[in-house]
Amino acid sequence: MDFEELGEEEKKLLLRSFSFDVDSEGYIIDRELNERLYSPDTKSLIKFENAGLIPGSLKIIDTTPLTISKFLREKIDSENGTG
Amino acid sequence: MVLDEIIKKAVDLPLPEFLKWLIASKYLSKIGDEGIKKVYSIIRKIHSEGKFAFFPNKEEAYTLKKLAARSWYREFKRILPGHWGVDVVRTACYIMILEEKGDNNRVKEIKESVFRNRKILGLRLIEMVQNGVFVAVLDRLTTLKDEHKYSHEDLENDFENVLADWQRITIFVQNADSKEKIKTQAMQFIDASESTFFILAKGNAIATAQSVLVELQKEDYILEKGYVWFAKTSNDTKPPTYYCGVYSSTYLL
Repeated sequence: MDFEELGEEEKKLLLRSFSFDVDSEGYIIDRELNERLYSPDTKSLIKFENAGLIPGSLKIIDTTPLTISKFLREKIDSENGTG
Repeated sequence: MVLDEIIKKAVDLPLPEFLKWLIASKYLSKIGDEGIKKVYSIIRKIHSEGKFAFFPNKEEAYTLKKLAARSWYREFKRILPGHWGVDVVRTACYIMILEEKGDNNRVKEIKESVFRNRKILGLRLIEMVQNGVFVAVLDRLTTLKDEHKYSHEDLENDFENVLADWQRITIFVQNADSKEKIKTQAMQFIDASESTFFILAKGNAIATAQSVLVELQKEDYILEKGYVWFAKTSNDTKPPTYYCGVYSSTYLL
């Protein structure tokens, strides 16, 4: 799996494809539930600028080195023989 | 026609380039709601193939990925798989890289995020990795797991007890410290029947720590009181850390 950065518009397009959007204050919203997305990992609402977008169905993380580490441990390390 | 072209691009281009192309082409404004639904479906399908993860800073993600090879991380994950501290240890290794680069603002942000998530114990674990105490604790956990066959639950309890108490039970030998001072501190721990304590030293202070242990050994102070000790030098810290774990031998049974 490759890691990439997306421009603002591309990131919004990917989010909208999965029924998410960004509200006027820059928070990710779940359009089906019409509510802001909460991260159980960081115990915060997820800001657009800080959102990491993980496959396969879209998983949105509140990106910090700790949440990336969790993602890597759960999804990547074993693929690379470091699990 | 437009939709056909979009489908062709979706096949030809990797997802990041496809998204860029879609935005630049402005086709989404020309294909109506049903067309947009179809494009969204295409994007979902490509993303579910799992070839890309998108982060605000991909270099940070790649650096963290490489840290999976760090011996501390791998050993801690082997000993306590699934423990919350595993991700904190990886983050702490990343903080050490940032500190070497002098990126103090990012270090501050990361520590704040660890505190929000893991409170004071998360920060204590980071500090323990940074100052080298973690190496001694890890060595101890390895012994407890491999030689004394501790269960996962017992290892977890042991680790969390040490995590809560390491500041009190660690003697950090400074360059200016006399041998007598360190020896007295070590003897106080033994006389108080402390089950575990650590002695850590860097640079010139290593000679002081080593001579204290030699004297305590010669005087039979450690064995006579029912203690065993293990000492090593770790080159994974900068500068290298000499660490010694002193344990009540009954505690290890």
